[in-house]
Amino acid sequence: MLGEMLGRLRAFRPVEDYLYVGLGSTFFSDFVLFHKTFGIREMISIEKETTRRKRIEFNKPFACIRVEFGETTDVLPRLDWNRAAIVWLDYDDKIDARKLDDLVYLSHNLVSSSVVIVTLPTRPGDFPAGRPPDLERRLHLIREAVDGRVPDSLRPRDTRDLPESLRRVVDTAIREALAMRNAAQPDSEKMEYRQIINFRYRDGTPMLTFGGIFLNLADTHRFKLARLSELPFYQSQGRPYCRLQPPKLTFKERRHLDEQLPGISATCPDVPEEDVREYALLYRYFPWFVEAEI
Amino acid sequence: MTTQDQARASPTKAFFVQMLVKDVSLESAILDLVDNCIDGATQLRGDGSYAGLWVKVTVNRDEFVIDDNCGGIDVDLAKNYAFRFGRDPALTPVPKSLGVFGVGMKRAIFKMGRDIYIRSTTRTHSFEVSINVPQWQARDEPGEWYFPMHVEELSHEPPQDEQGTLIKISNLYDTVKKEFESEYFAGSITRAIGTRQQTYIDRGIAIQVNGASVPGTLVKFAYLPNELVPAFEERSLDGVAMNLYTGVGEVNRIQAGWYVYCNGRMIVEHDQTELTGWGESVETAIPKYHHQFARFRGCVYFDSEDSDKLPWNTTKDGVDVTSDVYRTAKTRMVTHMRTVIDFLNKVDREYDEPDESKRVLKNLLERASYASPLSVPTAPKFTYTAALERPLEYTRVYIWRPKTAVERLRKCLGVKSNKEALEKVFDWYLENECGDVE
Repeated sequence: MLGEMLGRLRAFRPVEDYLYVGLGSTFFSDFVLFHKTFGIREMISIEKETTRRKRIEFNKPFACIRVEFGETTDVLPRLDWNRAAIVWLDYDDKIDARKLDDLVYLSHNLVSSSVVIVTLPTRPGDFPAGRPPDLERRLHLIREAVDGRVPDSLRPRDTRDLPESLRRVVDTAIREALAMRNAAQPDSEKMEYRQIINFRYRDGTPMLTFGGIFLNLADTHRFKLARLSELPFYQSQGRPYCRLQPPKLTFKERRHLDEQLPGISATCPDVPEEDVREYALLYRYFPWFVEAEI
Repeated sequence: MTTQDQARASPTKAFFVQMLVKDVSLESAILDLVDNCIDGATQLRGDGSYAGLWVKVTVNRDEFVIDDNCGGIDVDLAKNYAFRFGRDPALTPVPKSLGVFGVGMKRAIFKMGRDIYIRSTTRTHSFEVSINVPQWQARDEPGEWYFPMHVEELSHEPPQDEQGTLIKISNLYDTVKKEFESEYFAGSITRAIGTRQQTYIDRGIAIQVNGASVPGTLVKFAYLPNELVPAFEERSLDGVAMNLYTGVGEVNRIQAGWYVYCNGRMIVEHDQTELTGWGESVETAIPKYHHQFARFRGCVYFDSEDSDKLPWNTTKDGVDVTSDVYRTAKTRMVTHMRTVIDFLNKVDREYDEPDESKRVLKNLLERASYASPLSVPTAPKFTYTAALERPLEYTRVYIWRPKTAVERLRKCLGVKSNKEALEKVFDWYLENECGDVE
């Protein structure tokens, strides 16, 4: 899905000309996808596991991937940001001040048409409200984690929706950083941030993936040409999030629904309408899991 | 019956002068006068060399004198502007002027004493003004205020060294006299001038206080061609040219930090606070200033033909943090800071390495040369090459064995301490038995 979205960046330039920066781990699955789908050749993986250097290097699927060892906070400032980049910060632990600083750094330095994607775990237990729920306390914990950088408009009751609260914290950090960057720039150079995705899903724990694109005045016109807003999972600022929750369907049911899609009146015996709707939105992207013996 | 009449609102001279000098410190009064000399020098030399120009300041219990050869004050300017209180908006500002607010000179001279003598010589004219402040205040001049001025048209151009301005103030006020008498005053004025006029002193102007030269720049960046190179970035921000340097210098806890200049004048010195992007806690990417960053140096220069656009406050001795230029510049400052902090953290970690010869970054810093920002080689990013080699990580080996056994081993190895015995055995086994085991 992300791939389809990013494919539309061709309105700005061939997608292969983007720099891709991700947090690779040993699997590099995002790197495989972006290299195979778009032919992106300049790829940097930031790897914090400095003790497993050999293993990481060994698992690099393509020669064009460069692994930079260290924390994102230290590595991001070392890289060259004078070209359009797609940066996916796929964090595996909870939000903190240093992660916000990564976003601030990128907001200060990314050039127009660059894309930033942030993935964060959103376990309620990371910011426990206690029992009975004390949302003041949760807000306090969030504020502490990010060194006070919580938007004034975020109220204790808002933290009932933890993922949205965290998204707002990051979103505000990006926008504030851009306001600083833009302060003394002429209008043509002012940079804008537009959110394009906002997914929630479970990957063992509840996760949030959201992000947007940086645009100067000239590129806002190209942004219209990219027609991102036509995609079913386009989630601009202010639109509700998109839940990726695969309905439990058998292979036979899926095949039956696929035969009727795309379309608006797909049905399947005894499958709840809700599940069909969700499936219809996402059917093209669902993996087929098969058990196999190798 | 009603009539239209006017109530008199013009200030008395005494009241006006009192208000004018009220909030100005003696030190900033003197700095304002030096600024005027530098303005003259800038008009003469622009961005070129200032060699051959000088400013001499004399302070003692009897008088204050400031004398320069920076071109003198134009007679028409003196007649119509230089002695007016406040800047005439009709007057075109001097490009890159330090004297933005039009009160500096008057405020400074009225602050100090009762007898004021000014002589200024340009290529074509010379004029003198003598003011006895109590007499001037006593004379009632409704409408306009004047100082008597004696002007002479010169038959030929005087030598360069005589084209300049002399201001002499005597019959000093008691409080001023007391400050000037202090053993510390000349020293603190010297430091203050050196700080503010660093760039101009570096460009060659000689400034003296009571006969002693004011030293120039203190900020020096370490560099080694291709191995250790400070960052330089230039940008135009809303009519203001920003030139920024970051890198490392000598270990010095006081001098570490950011230096901010407006049209060559230093307005922020070795700042280690949030003002220049340092963090408020240790959690942030740019942490709170800490002694491990005692090598950090950053200089940011703002220059503009239009002094009003510069991000300084009205007293020109600090940053206007709300200015758009400064806000945007700060994003560049924090961006460049991070690479240097990353480097200094590595230098700090390297101290865990017991073998000094393997401390590559320390070695790099020891081999480096030092130069002032304007003459140091730079790159778009702070760069260093020795980072390629990662320092080894160390761990402690700690064992318990029967005392008799350890003593036997020590005897056999001919060493005095348990530590040495263990080291020898460990190293011998590693070298002879581990072969190519990784």
